[in-house]
Amino acid sequence: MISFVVAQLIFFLGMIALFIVLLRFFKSKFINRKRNQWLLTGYLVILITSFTISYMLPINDNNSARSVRLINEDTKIPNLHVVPQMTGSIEMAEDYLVNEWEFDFEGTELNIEMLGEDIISNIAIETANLNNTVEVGLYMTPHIIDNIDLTTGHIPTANVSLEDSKLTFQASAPVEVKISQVNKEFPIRQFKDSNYLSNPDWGTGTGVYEESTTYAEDNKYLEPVDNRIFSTELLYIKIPADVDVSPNEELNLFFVDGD
Amino acid sequence: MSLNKVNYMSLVKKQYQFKLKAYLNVFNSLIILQLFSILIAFNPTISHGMSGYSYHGSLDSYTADFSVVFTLLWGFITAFLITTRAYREDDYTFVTNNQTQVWSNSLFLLTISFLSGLTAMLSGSLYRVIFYFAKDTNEIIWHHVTLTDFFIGFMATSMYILLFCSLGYLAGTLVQLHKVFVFILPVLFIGLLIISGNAGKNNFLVNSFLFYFQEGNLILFTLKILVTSGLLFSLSMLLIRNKEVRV
Repeated sequence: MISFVVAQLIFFLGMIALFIVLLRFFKSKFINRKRNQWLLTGYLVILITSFTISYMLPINDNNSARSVRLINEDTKIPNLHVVPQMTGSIEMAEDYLVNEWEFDFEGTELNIEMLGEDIISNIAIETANLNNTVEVGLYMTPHIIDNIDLTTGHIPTANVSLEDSKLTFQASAPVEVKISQVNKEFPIRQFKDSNYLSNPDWGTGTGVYEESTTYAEDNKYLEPVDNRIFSTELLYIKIPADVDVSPNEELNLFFVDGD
Repeated sequence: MSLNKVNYMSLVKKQYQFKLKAYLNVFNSLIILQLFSILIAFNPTISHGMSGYSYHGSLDSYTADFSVVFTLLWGFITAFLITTRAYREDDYTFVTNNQTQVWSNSLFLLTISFLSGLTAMLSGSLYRVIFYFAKDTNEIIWHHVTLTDFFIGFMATSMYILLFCSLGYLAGTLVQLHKVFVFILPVLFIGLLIISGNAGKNNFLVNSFLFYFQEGNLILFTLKILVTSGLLFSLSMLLIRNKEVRV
C-alpha cells in the first residue's frame, strides 16, 4: 500500500521528469530564435492585457451578488448550546435572533412538538412575567469558514404555531448554498495575511503528540476549529409563571429558572 | 602569445548577454507550464462543507498558486540543465574559465527569476479574467489584487524562483562533479521527506521551510533569499573551480 508521502513524491518526480522532457524538446532546434522572441513577446502581451482587464472587471473586493459577509476575526460568537446555562438569560445572543413569535395562551400546560427532518434539540424555557402570552424566539449563529459568513442571506427559518396547548415547530426546507472564493497567490498572502501559516497542521507523525485537542465545551464563545466555526441554534421560549411544560425525552429542554 | 588584456567583468558581461539571447528557448516550456497550471487551477484548491439546521453549505477556494509552484520547479530544472554539457559547451566560444561561467550563469538565472516571477504573477490575472467569464456559481468572493499586492507578489515570487534556481544549480554542479550524485541527491531528498513525515512538526525540513515561508517582512525575506542564494552559488563556484577546464 503506497503511503500518502510516497504518492506525493511519485507525483512530483513524474512532474519533474515531464519538465525535463519538455525542456529537452525545446532545447532542440524545433523553434528558432526569432520565433522564440515572438512567442515570448506574444505571451507577455496577452498577460499584460489580461492584467489590465482584471482591474476593469465589475467586481469589488469582498463582495458578491448577495454581499457575503466577512467576519472580523476578533468577533466573539456566542455558543448558543451553553449561553442560557452559563448566563441564565439570552441577552448576549440578542444579535442572533432570526425570528420571533408571540401567541395568546390561557392554558396551564404546554406541549412542545418538533416536525420535519431537521429538528432543533436545544430548547431553553424561561418563566417570564407574561400575561397569557407565550413568546418564542429562534436564535442561530452563522457558519463561518476562513472568516466568511456562509449563511449571509441564507438563514433558514421555521414555522411555529400554537394550537390546543401544543406548540409545534416545523423546520423549513433545507437551504443549499455553494460559495466560491478566488484567493490571492501564496506569495501575496504570506505578506498580507496576518494568519498565514500561523498554525500549520503538520500532523502528529509517529512521535509523541504534546498538544491537547480537547474542545472547550464550557466556553460561552465558539472557538474556531481549523478556521471553521459551526453554527449553533437555540429555541428560546418564554412562558407565564403558571404554565408548565410537559417533559419530552426526545428534546433537550433546559429550564433557565432551574425547574 | 596574445597581447590582449582580458577584463574579467567584460568576459562575464559578454557571456551573460550571449546566454540571454541563446537560452531564450527556456521560456517556451515556462509558457506551456503556466498555461497548463491555469487549466488545472479551475479545480478548487480547498473545499469545505458544512451542514447544520436546515442548511447545507460549501465553500470552494480557488487560487493561481499552481502557476507559481510550476514556475519554481521550472526554475530548478532550468538551473540544473544549464550545468549540463550541452549548455556548458556554448561557453567555450568565449575566453572563459569556470568562475566566469558561474558568474554569467548566476546573472542569467537572476534575470530569468525576475522575468518568470513577473509572468507567474501576470498569469494569475489571466486566470482571474478567464475565471470570471467561465465559472458559474451562486456567489463568488473575489480577493482583489491591488497594485501593491502585485508588486509584493512579484518580488516574493522572483526571490523564491531565485532560491530554487540556486538549489538546482548546486544540484547540477554536484552531478557534474561526480555522476554518483544523480542517485545520492534524490535519495537524500526522499529520505528527508520520510523522516519529516515521521517526525511531525519539529524537524530540519519543516523548520527550513518555515524559515522562508513564514517570514512576514518583505525586506527580511529578500535578504534571507539573497544571502542563501549567494551562498549556494558561491558553493557551486568553489566546487567547480578546480574542475579541469576544456582547452
